[in-house]
Amino acid sequence: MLSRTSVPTPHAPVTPVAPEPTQSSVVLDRVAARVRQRLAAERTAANSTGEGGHQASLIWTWPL
Amino acid sequence: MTPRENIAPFRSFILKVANRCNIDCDYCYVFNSADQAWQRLPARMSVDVAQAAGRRIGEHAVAHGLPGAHVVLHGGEPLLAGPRHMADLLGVVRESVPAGVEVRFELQTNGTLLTEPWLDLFERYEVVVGVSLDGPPSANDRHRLTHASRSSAASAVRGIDLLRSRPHLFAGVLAVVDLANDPVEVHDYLASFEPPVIDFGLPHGTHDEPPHRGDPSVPEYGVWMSRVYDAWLARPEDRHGIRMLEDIVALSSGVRGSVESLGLAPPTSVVIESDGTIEGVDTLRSVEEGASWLGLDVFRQSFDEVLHHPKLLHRQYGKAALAEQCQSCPLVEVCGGGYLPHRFSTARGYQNPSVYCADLEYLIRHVQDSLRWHGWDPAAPPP
Ligand code: SF4
Repeated sequence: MLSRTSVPTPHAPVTPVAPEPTQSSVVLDRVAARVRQRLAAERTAANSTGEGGHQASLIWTWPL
Repeated sequence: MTPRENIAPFRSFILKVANRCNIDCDYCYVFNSADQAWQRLPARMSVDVAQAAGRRIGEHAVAHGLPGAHVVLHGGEPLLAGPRHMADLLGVVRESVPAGVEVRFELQTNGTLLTEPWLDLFERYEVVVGVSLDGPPSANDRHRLTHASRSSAASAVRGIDLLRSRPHLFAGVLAVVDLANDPVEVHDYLASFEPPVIDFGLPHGTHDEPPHRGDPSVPEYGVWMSRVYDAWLARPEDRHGIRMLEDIVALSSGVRGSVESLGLAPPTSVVIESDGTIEGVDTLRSVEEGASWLGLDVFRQSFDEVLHHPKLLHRQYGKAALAEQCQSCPLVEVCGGGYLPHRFSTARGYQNPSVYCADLEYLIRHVQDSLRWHGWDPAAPPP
């Protein structure tokens, strides 16, 4: 248990076990397509700082 | 500290249409936390409050040239407002916002009260629905019990199954992490409902009241979420996104907007209580009594006045508002110092790294190492 006032410091990174590339690239390809859309939408949006969406709802924070 | 030159306007308006709940989740920040404000708030939002909120949303959108606004129907359990009253609320909000501003409605529910007539109403107003569920019944039953301490899982699943009959209304599933649950089992169970999106929230905790850990020397929440990431990547036949993980990928690739618990973008949501009072981050209720209270309401103040409230200006400071340790952290653009309530301590206010610092570091590095391993250079646009 952390003490009531303690502030954690970052731990040294633990090397994660990488997943199988042949299987997982399909998911990351889809993610890459959505990330490209988000980058493009942010470039054309008036507000270049981006926006932080509500944690307790399921809104995606892409510019409208 | 000076705020960024252009203060980011609000884009998402969270309406607390009901301030009671038909179940009794033990971690709920509305009913079972430090702040007991719900006891003095009306059980449901009146049409007058919704109308005033709608007018203020329209005024704000026009003033900032916004083409649209998200309106989230939230609670408590929003379906306790009842379908007729909800129809009145939806109608008056839509009427009060000028025609040139597109209103996108979303509702966040525990799913237990969903019926066909509700879905008909959501069709009419194009309301998409997110359901809160923590995993299979054994996982969900750890926290999400009824007032009579019975499982709510079967009725929530019945609600989700009904919602799946109209997939265009299904926004996704929101789950809270519990280390006692198996992350892969939770992921696979939630994925079996074919939601477009799953998201995970870390349990509420502060430096005064840290989250439960079995072994404080291990970043257990980071490890738990990294196992969800691996399960997600290992199931190409499932098509859902996982918001927290996808935001880590996006932020690592130069995207700036994300859910408010990550990254450095200013939070752009604001909460309207059932009596019309306005709050910044409603989940600050978990921190201390009155932490979310601003003393403003939709009848007397515009959302522009809310933007400039001293308690919310920190949203505009970006990195400069963070603890020194975060400002010099190599992961700060992605992590953003964590979710605001998770930074709190009585001694230092919000000037702390997240109580989940080690977990966030572990998870972000896990995702970034995986991207590298797949030939995707984090810090560069996706291949
Ligand atoms: S909370 Fe930890 S990982 Fe996040 S920015 Fe601060 S120091 Fe870095």
